[in-house]
Amino acid sequence: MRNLMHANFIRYISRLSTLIAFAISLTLGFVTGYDSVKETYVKGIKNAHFMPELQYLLFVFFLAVIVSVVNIGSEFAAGTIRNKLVSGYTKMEIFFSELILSLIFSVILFILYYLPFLVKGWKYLGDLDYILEITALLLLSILSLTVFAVFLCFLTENRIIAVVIGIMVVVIMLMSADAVAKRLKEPQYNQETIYEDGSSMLVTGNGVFRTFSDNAGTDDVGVKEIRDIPNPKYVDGIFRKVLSFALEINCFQRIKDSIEFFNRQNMLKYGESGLPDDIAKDIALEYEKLNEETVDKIGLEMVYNVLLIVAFASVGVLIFRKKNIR
Amino acid sequence: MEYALKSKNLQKKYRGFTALSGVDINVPKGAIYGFVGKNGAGKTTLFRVICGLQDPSGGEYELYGVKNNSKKISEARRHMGAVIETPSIYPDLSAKENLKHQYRILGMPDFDGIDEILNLIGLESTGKKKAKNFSLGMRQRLGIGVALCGNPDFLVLDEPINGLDPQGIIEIRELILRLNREKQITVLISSHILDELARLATHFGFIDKGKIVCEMSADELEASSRKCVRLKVTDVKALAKVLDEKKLEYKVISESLCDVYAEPNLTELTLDLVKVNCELLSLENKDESLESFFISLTGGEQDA
Repeated sequence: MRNLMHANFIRYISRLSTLIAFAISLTLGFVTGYDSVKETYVKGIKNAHFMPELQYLLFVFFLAVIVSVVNIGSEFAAGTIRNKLVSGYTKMEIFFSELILSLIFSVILFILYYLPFLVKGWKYLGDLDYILEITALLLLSILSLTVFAVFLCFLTENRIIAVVIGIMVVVIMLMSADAVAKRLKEPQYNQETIYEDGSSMLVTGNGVFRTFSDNAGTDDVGVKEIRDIPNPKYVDGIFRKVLSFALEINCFQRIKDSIEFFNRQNMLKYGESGLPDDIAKDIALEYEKLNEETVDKIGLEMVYNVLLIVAFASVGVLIFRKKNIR
Repeated sequence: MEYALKSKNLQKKYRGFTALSGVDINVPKGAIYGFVGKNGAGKTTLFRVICGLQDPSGGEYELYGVKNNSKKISEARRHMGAVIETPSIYPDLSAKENLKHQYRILGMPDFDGIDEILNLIGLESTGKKKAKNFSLGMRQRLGIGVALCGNPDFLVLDEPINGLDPQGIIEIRELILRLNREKQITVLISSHILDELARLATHFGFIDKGKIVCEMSADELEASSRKCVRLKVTDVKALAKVLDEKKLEYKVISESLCDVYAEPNLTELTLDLVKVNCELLSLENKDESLESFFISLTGGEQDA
């Protein structure tokens, strides 16, 4: 298997598509690093924020899928996968050699992106333990997506289908993370305030809605009643559990959390940036609490990613072993 | 006799379709084994199974004495090189780079021998030209070149002359003959062009509906398909008596048909037959080729 990996590594690393992907990843890393430093004013005091943008990272995810699929897909397209079987390698050896190489290339893509980004943002970032956890999460997420792409490639034996499905999965995961998180944040009850003049105000997750009675006209009207109205958009029971689980295993939600986390880390350093101590202390306390929640979830997300890697690799090799190669 | 490949009751079933229904094939070492069968008879399926691309549904095969269910079967395949349907080459690499890649896959310590293979397949002067710009014949030869990496003892070639022009066909034929004669490589080859197979093969296997219907050497095929005159007479016993008297070799086919393996004097023969009250009804020169032998075996059209 070592010979097979060595041969394929030389072939894949010298491919123009791989080199272009590396160059794009490196460029994205620099762009993200420079683009993330933003100057704002808090209470009139100039403050530098480090706010990474998710869209650049997403491109690295896409690149990881494309590099894996193009490399493996070319073996199926040219029929050269047959040479490997005839040369005495088992299907299991072929699958794992391709899988390991794809993971290596994804790690290279990630490092090329992450290093310039990290170097530029280093002075703005906070606790090293947190940074390491986020780095591990991002790396595991990109690796689990790579394993999924390899799985698709061996399943479909078609690079175009595999690329399309792989990218669609990334987009769907990203969009569903937004939609599901929003749905879960819906309050169980909306608060309705009834005024003495008969008008009312309903506060919902989507905004504030006012209705006016015919008698309305004065500005200073007393409150007659405040009541809770069940929110029809609130999900409960098994559906809520399913949605919560879907959100938990969606690595993009954690990545979004992590990006917020970067920002919070920066906020914790307000004092160093010249904010008055009392403001910095309040902000620090607020974000410390949020960070603890995020870090807990990051740990769980890493476990899910490892499970996904093991699951897709195991199922992939089982399917490929039984597959009839043409 | 030692065999490069032997199979016993080898089967391959797909959903609702049986491609191989008990194939018994015996490819002697050092032979050029011509594999003949109609489209869909199971030729390519057999090649895929013995090359490890697909698992058999039943039965077994041996490669150089190693059974397919042995853990050493992958090692045994290192004796093999194969071109199945289309040549397995990287279109974005040159001929030399393709061979180097295959050398690396095989774990060869150096690239010695690559120039020799390039010379053998006639691609030594292609330089940096990429395989995607090669002609069909050049790609076929490169496919064979890749299969030759690692000095295999057994070459499996599925339709290697498909789509080639006459010059390309001659080049591949001469290459296969050189490999067999100079390097003692056993070759298992299938082709639709039966005349070409007849010029190459030392042994033949005929497959029909997923089963080997006949295996024979080229000498046996020649013996069974010699030139003859087929006579149709009213009394085949009387004809046999006359032929015995003339000491001519013959074979009675039916009550009225007889093949005579000579060129008899027809006037004399007719007069002799009249004497024994036998009429000569018709006469046909027969020159049985591999193609007609195959048709007579399978009873089908010339769709081999």
